[in-house]
Amino acid sequence: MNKDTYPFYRAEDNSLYFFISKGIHGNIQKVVSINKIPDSSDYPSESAYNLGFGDVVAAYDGWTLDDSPRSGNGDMPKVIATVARIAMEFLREHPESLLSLEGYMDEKSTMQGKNQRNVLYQRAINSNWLQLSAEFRFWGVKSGEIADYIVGNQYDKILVGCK
Amino acid sequence: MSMEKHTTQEHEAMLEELLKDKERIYEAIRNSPFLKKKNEKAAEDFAKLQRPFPWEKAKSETDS
Repeated sequence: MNKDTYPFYRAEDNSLYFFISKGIHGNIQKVVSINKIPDSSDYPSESAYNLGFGDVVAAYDGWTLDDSPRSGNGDMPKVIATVARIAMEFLREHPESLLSLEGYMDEKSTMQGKNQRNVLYQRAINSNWLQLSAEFRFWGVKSGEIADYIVGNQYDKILVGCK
Repeated sequence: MSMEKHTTQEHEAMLEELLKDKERIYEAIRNSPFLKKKNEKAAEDFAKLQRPFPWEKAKSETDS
């Protein structure tokens, strides 16, 4: 994906990645978390990881990750492309692993019956399918059923691994 | 200095400033209830998926 992306900063243990969204509402600090899914080490892949993404927001005792806000900063394609770049770099460095992506179901998503963050993830995947599918394998989970990813289908969860 | 390079340096400087207290930020985010809940849900969802997974089928076909 040769999209415009933000530079990002990676924590030493590769579990947190930070970048700054710059848009109409100013600078918003974003974080991508990639955590090993507990008890997933018996899967055929080395292990499965869960990708979380959101804003770094102030909490009463410090900071937290909140993936619910719609920051409306006017740079969503660049933000999603940055998340995709982080995911791809992680998989290239951990080629035996699987990455699981599932967005937060906010009020709008619930009303429309579809996960808006997943819609954005899938839009990025679908629009770069030829390039991405040459390097990675994708699966979609819908209603608890897992199958090969089909462009155009809507999924509850997306799984990605290296070919 | 090119505009692109200047923008990148400016961006990196902002990140550095925001991450001055990075160890505390790391800990707070890693221990956040939100993230724990999200990872637990991912584990539950994974455990509910029917085996064999598509990549298991592909591997067994390749091995046989």
